[in-house]
Amino acid sequence: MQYSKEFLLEIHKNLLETRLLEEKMKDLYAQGRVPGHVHSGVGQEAAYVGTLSTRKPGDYFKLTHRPTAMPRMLGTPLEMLFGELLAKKTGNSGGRGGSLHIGELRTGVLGMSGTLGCDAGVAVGAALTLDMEGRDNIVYMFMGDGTSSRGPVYEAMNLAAAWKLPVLFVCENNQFAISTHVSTSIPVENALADRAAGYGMPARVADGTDVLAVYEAAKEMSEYVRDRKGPAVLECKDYRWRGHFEGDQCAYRDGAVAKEWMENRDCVKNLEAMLARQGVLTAEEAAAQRSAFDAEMEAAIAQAEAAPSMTPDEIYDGLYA
Amino acid sequence: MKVPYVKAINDALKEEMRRDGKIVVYGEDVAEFGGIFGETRGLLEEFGPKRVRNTPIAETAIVSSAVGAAITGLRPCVELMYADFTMVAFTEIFHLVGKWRYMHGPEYKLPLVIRCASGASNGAGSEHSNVVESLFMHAPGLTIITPSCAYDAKGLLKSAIRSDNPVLFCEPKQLYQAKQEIADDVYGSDYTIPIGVADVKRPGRDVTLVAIGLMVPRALEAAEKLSAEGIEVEVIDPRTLAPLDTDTIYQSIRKTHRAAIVEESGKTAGIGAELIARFQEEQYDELDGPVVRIAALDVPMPYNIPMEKYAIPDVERICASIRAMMK
Amino acid sequence: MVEGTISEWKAAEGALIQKGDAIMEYENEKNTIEYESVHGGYLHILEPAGETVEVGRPIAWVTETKEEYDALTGGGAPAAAESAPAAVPARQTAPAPAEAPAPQGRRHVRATGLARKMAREAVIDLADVPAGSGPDGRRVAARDVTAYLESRRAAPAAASAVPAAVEDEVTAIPWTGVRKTIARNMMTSLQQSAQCTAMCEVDVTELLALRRKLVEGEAYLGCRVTVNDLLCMAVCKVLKNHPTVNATFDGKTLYSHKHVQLSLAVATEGGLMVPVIKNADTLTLTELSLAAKDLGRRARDKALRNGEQSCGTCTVSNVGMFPIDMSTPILNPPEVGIFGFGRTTRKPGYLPDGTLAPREMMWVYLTFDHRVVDGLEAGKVFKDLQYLLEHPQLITA
Repeated sequence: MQYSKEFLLEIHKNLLETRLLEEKMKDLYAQGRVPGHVHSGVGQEAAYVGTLSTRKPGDYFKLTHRPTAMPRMLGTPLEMLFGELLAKKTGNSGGRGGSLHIGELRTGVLGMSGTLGCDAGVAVGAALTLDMEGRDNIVYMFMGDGTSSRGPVYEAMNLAAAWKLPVLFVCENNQFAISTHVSTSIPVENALADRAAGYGMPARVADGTDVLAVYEAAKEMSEYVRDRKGPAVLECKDYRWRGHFEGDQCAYRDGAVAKEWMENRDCVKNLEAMLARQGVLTAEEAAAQRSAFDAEMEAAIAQAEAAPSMTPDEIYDGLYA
Repeated sequence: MKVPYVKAINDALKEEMRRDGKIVVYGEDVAEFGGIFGETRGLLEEFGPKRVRNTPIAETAIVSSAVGAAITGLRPCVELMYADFTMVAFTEIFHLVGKWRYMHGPEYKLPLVIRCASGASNGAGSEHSNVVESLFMHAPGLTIITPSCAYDAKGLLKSAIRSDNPVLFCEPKQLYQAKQEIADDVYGSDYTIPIGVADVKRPGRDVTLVAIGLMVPRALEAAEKLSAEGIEVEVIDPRTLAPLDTDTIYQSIRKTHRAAIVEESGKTAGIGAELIARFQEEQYDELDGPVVRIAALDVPMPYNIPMEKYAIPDVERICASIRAMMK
Repeated sequence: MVEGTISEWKAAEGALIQKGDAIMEYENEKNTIEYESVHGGYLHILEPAGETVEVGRPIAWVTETKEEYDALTGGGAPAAAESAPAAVPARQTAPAPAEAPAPQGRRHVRATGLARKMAREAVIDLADVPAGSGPDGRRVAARDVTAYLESRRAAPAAASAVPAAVEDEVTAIPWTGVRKTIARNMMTSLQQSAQCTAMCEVDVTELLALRRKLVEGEAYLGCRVTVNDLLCMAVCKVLKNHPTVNATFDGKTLYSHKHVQLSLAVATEGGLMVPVIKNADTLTLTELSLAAKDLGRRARDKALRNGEQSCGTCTVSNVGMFPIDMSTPILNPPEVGIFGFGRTTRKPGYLPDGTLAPREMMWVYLTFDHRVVDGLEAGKVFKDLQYLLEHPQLITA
């Protein structure tokens, strides 16, 4: 597939910024500046960035806790993202939700359920709205391989298929449900793609570390959904570089395998090498981008850290409309 | 006219759907079948298959999709058929419906209603006879409504549908066919009943009896009998269990100084348990004796109908309990 | 009968008793009664002799077999506090719940929240309110407080129901400070003890003669002895022989005192004061006289020190300076006796030889707590007192 330079630079920018944000969050956590937990998505950016590069204005997105930074690509300001991570009033929910529950309806981000998979139906409901309103948008419903085993996911997929609603179910298969490897918990090769047939949905499996491969598969599936042919499945295979949460030493897996993925299947490094080969982006330009975005993040973090926290008299605010 | 409770539900749905095109009704068997209790009869014919939909047997998806539809602009009024099935979607109701707005931010609104038919109904057995309000009273963010008569059912369902907060709407099955005389002009007047306002169903000076759902008509009958014995019972129907109108109840307690609660749910950790806890915390100085719970026995509802009836408070049990406390 | 005192166990702990055996003796308000067991078996005593037990509390168990007895005594006998509804419940194996005996100090009053609020607002002690509510009638509810308040209102209302003939003028005098304390003490005294007053007229001609001689020796004695000093001295002597009257009582235990801590009722402008002459029985007449004068003066000057009005064991009240023959003085709790002396009147009296002669006569009276002092004891007190007063040389002997 032929890509314009602008497209490639845009997809690189999103991939790089997501990477830098994920790294920054884990660093903040290591410095003790995050009150809750951080589920780092370093190494998994391509599955999301590639898929979301097929989005159109007005689409809805049901993201996951990993990468936490994804709302940024969809338009959430950095101050707000860090504000929520640091539990400040400037965060999406003023620090009531946290990084597991980032949502911003303005940008189409529906929110997340901490009980994984229970929110699959939320995406289906948003698709019902699209259907009722006659809009040609779609809903991107992301989940991990672990979540793909949950019953509510299948109730949601079944309902979406029965009602022929515009949902693209995306499984980012990083191989681990906390410590449990897919080989011991999922009886099929492809966690969600192989199950799609049960609901009459088409499915594609992509290399989740190759952002352009993801994009191409996502394009095909999203167009199927956008054409109102029904819901579809995309599965992206990658590897969770870090532990389930920061602090998880990953004693349950082979370090050599992880090293192999990190060295040879780094989605950012590989894209930058390709762009350098093609003369689209030099190493110096990439380095300049890195330091510029780092400064942007630091400014946003400083702003978030300086922001006020919710007070006891505000604890009930927002419970009822 | 004489209005059966189920007709009031049906009319409330129809009137609201006519008023607002954003309202969709879906659930198991609500379309052609018109609901297994007849509560959605005629909706498909009038509003068409896009707004009135049958779902697969998939309670978690019914509830979670209602959340998704509500936050993106629809006003879903979904049905879970038997209240027992709320437990299939417990996570969705407890975590998503109750908390989604709080944890995601103030621009989120969840104008959705989850309707369910609750309580025992002549041999339905232990998984089709539960009363679930108390389970969900523990969940912050929910509005819980249980009307006890046709008039309240219609006015409250309309308010529930118009509310921007999520509502769990419990309809006592044994009341579906109960008829109430309501003046035609009142019934057809598009009236609503405010959420969170209790109703004094019968005034009395001696004891405050908080009755919920199916127990309200039984409490009123008991009050009539006790009145002949010289005990004047004030029957209060909270109608909304969350948020609870404690003002009305406390006003009554400050008058009678005695209180009892009658509910169709099991006694242990039931609605009465919560009410009593609040009464003693907030009205200790007004209470002139222990607050009494009159509730269902803590057993799985037996299939055997005489035993089913025995398990649930009846008029005689209410009378006996009140007499004992007034000794 | 609400309680009884076990005076003696006639059967020993662990003894095999037969149905009908007299196993215990107890006293109620009137009698000493033998208790015959209604069951045969092995006796396990819960309440030892000397204990006063309310009716309904188990005092012993009777087991059918030795094994049961061993299990009962070896494997953790039921605590005495556990109770069952019979004076002597035989063969009790599962004691029914009942109110535990009141702990020392303030009794917990079972009352509803509303009753507590009403008591708080009416400034009454809930413990004073008779309980009549709840499943066992032992809970104080609102109606009990209302009834109590109404009964309190009704009493003074009846007394004041006198038609006013002339236009009255009312001065409101706030009853505060010492006055308020006196008022409360008086009320409490009458409400919480069983007061009974006995009296007799005594010939004090000899006593007055003795007193005159003592006054003549004023310079020698260093003080002017009063009739009251002699009366106090006589009371001390009598009390030494009647320890149950020289005593205090808290409702459970009678505390009998070796020495007489003699309370003197002193009328002052500020109200009634009751200073105490410590160990009055150990003092000589002059010492007693000086102490009484000193306390009386300081009472009138409001110069009594802290503690000088407490720990009395019996009181003397003398109204002889007024035209009062006798009164019924109110006990000074926790004391159980208060002696009173009226005015002296000259009356014709028969001498031992049968001749009629003018005699100085005085009414002597004693209010005693009939809970602890019975009529027999009071009679003996009067007998001794009369003898002493009529043979006054014995007072100073």
